[in-house]
Amino acid sequence: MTSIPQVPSYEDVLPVVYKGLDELNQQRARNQRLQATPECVLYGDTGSLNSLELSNFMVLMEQLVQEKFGVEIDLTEGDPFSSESGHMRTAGTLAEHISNLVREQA
Amino acid sequence: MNSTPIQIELISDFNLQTLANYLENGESLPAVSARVAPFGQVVPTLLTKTKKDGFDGNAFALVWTSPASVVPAFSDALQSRPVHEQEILAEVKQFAQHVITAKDRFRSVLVCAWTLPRWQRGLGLLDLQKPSGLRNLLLKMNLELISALESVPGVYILNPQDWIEAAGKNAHSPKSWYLSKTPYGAEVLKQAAVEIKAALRTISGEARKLIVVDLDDTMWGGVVGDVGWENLRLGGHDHIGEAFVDFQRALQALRNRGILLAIASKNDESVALLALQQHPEMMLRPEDFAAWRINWKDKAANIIEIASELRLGLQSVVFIDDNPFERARVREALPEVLVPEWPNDKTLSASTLLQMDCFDTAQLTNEDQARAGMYAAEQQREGLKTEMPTVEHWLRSLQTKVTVEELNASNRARVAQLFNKTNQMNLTTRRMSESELVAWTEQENRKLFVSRVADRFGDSGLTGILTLEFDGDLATVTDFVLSCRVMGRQVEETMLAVAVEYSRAAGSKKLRAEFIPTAKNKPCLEFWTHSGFDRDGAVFTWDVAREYPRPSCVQLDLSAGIVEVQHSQSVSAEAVTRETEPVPAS
Repeated sequence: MTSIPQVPSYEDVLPVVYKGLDELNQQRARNQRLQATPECVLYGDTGSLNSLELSNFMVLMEQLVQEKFGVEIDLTEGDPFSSESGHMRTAGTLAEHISNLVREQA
Repeated sequence: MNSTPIQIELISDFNLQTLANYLENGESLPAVSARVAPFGQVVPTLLTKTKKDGFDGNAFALVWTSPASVVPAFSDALQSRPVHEQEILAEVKQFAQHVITAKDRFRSVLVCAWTLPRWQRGLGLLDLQKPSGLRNLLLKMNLELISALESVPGVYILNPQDWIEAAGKNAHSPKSWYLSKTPYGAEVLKQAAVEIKAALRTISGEARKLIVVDLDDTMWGGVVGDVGWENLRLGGHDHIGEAFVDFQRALQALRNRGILLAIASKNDESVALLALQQHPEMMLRPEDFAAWRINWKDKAANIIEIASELRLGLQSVVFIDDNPFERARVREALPEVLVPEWPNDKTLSASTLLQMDCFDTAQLTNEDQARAGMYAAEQQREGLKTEMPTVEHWLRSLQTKVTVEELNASNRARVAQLFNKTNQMNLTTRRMSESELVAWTEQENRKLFVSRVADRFGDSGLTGILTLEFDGDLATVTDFVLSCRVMGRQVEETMLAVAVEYSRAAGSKKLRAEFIPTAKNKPCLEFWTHSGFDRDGAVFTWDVAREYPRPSCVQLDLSAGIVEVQHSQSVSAEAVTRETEPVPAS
């Protein structure tokens, strides 16, 4: 079993986001699957997730964070879909946001 | 499997779009095209008479509802108001009637039993016990639903509780409900997609029929050739020994359901058979296996021989072996054979076997349950063949009797099963559900005959289907289906004789059959090529003014009254049990 860092960094959270993308990709056609990169766009003008997928992804990420870091977070709080500062813009912004939320609770 | 996606409409009071996504984008077969009916409109959707754009009558439906949405009286129980059980059950019956109405638009309807989320405690300690308890009521509702639907052809009841248990603690997601009107977590929907696809495969008749199993460290612990049968780990006060006994019990349970068992083992045959005969805790004895190859040859070659001996295609075979090398070898050599990964932990063997969905069937018939016995009889037949001087002597000695009857309520489940599972002796490989078969025969110019075969060694059951369509002077054999169990016993020629005789009685001048090739029905072409019919490419014809010579070794019984021909004359049922004419050399 991998050791869990006391305060997970962005680099610690990013693989968890990628795991969520893997799960989400199982609901998507092969040619529409998302690439596991920090730049992967989730929401915005060029984002490809519809509202149901965004809902599913947020719930899934909350569960994965709970399992991995033992911390309960709420990704619907704040302004997740703001085009300028929303944490659901990319895989990278989401990982950064989760890292901050977990750090706050640590 | 056909690569055309199977269409399915998802009907629910909650949002099943994620399930549709899993069904359409999952890698497993069959390919599925899913549509979500407007959620919250379950009853209007069930009662509509209009087919969906692009959806034909071959589409499936899934009906997955929360109990209060379709049984409004159950809402009172959820609100802890006084409940009237009879009112609730009457609403369940009404809902079941809506499902039956909807069945006319679909090939099959899959209906999910109702569940409650774990966090809904109801009356807590008393919830199961008291008539007003939610779980008490829900059990009765589900039983009422099952009772109303269990005998409706083409309706199948699924159990989402299994998917919920498999999904674990995130099965129910209040947040998903509030965000997207989906009460379940993704894992439940993923599991649902797996089970729904298994159901579609089952209804399409793709069940496996034969388990070929290894012996050492698969059926028992240890290498019998090294330690002797007395020292095998099997039963006793030993957790591994007990696990092997349970695995054998699981195999036995499948055998009792009609799945055949066979052995492919690298051993000295006499040593292995002695273990099967002598070990006091052995659950399976040699007579429980339809065939075996216990030798030092390649297992893939042995599996081919076993399948051939039992007249089964390799797509019917599952191979179980603890040795990863043997599994890899068989997977590579025989890709049609299903070779499941097998756990190293022997305590998981029984549960691994019992959770496999490839043995599921859409109907349970008497033929299924008697199948293992039928194969034992087949071994006796083959044994006799080696003792007889010629094939003709052997055929005559079997004293085969073919009984022909029409489709009726008592045989249609088995007819649908045979129709959808038979590959080798199948003229057109048309697939139809039970209800579609009934609908097909409702037209006056169509006839569906079934044949039952028995001989001195036993009853092979309902093993043949012949359908005829009449159009003016022309009669057409639309389907010619025969179980591999009775192939080569001149039942085929007898069925053709019935087709010719009935066509003549119906006023036809010519009988025609067109062979449609598949990857598996070459034996059917072989038969028709040598049947005596005139051949023009894939089309075979017979001038029905000519008698079709019937095999003298087969006794034909038409006493079920199939010869009531509306078009012209009828053949009396008095002399219909008779010795048939000699078959020509072909």
